[in-house]
Amino acid sequence: MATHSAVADHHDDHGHKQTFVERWFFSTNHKDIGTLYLIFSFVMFIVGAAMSVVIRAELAEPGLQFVKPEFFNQMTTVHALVMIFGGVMPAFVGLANWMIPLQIGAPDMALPRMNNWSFWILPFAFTMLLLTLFLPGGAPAGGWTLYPPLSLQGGANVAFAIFAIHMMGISSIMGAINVIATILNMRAPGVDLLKMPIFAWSWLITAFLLIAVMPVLAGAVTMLLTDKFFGTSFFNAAGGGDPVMFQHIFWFFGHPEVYIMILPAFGVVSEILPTFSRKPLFGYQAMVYAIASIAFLSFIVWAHHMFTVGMPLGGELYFMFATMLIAVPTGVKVFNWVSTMWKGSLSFETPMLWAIGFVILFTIGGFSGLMLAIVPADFQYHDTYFVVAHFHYVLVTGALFSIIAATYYWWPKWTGRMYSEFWGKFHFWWTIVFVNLLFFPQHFLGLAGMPRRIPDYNVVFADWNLVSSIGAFGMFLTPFMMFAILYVSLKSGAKAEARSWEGARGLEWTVPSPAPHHTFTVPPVIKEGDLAHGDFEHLDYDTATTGADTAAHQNARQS
Amino acid sequence: RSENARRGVRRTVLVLAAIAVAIYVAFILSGVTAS
Repeated sequence: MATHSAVADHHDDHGHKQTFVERWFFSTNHKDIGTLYLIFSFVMFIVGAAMSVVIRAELAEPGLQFVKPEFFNQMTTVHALVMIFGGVMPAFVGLANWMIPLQIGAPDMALPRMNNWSFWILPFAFTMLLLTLFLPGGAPAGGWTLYPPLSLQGGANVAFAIFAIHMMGISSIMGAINVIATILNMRAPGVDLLKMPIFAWSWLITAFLLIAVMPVLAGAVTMLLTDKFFGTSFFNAAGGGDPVMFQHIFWFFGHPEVYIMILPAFGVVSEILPTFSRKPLFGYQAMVYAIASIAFLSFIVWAHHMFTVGMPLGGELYFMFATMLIAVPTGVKVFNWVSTMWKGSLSFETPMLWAIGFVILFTIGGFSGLMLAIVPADFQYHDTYFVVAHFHYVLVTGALFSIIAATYYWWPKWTGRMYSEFWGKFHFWWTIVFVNLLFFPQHFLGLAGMPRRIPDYNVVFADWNLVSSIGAFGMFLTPFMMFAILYVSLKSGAKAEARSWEGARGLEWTVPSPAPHHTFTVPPVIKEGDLAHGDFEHLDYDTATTGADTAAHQNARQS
Repeated sequence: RSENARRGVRRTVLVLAAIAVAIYVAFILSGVTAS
């Protein structure tokens, strides 16, 4: 058990008790900033989900029901921007802030004040973006991909949205620099890179992706801005520019971006499966190399989003084969997750259910991605609901499932309280039913030829659209369900042990639950079995520390 | 918390920030030369 100096909640040890404003607005504490990110992300998920309900209500039956087509397009555009930049990305940054210092034995992030700024930019950025809904002409409606010339036909919303995207980019870049500086410089003695938890590894690699491609997005939207307001012709064919060049630049950002949203999810699942299988992650080094391989490949496949734009045959073939290559390291990961569970002493607590759901359903999304990679097939699938089904499987049953899994998994460490396993499992099974009702029929609609981003459709598509909309209404209840489960836990949940899960390994489980405001203020002295990886001679899951043991350790530490 | 680690953090930040700015400028310049 690592020695640990902080045993009580000392956030008032700065000479005076911190006020609410000092603690939350001027915070430099990685746990508080992580909490802010997670709360912000939850709010944005609700906002984005409300937009998806507008979309699915309109599509429940053929014909125009509730909204004008122009507003429908604003909903699809802003839904995507809010969910990607306001929901998924801040959720993973929140998890990184909370867990990376705890996992590597660091006292905080390397740059605590920049950390505060990284977060507090975001509420202003999204206020700016969402205010466009109230401008004359409404919000951006050309799709989250912002393809010109369509995206430049908006009014003032173009400037608002581009400024908001610049701010989100600056926030992400600063967050990524912070993660890299922390992991490369702040690891406790004994936490070698290849002994780090996979979640920390996944974030180290993700941070490099962010630094590489957020400036590309910033460059793309800067050029959109000057085309719109300053008379340049980067993407204006009439002035010698090229709108297809925008698509290349956008997707050079966009494809690594989708891996930015899934690599930390891989990290989360690689933490949870070993815990509830009570054996170490199978193929630890292969998992690290697979993440790095996927990250590298993510830079050289961008034009598979543009197969139908009119590329040379050589380009089509290259991007098809390069894209299919990603299935190799991804397959390594899926097989290693299954092998981790193989012959494990499995138990199915709530985080494990979400992690297993991830492995199965994310893989469905991966397979539909492989179908889309086939050029002649993509000529049929492109811009249909099949694409919508594909990316919602990898983003909802992939990224979002892992965020929920991580929340249930680390909640006892964050709050010192357990949640109701019954209601956690109820939340899971409810979601499984409705998320598949929502997205699986969209495969059928796409294969039958229903286009994306339309508010009305041929009557032949009516039945599956109604099924999908029923799924959406059921899914909309789930964030409120989760909020209720966690609120009750916070108020009256059973006390959590330091090692909240019997099979949990890693430094974060050596500190008390809830984690004190300041941890590892002196570097921990790492003892046998503290680390989850690279310490196999000491990993003895057969004689795993029991709850009684951890309580004894905790009491000993506090006395 | 050693001075050595502080120096490491400073160097990491400067290098990464320089890379980010360089990529931003490079992509706009690529737009300038292509259009």
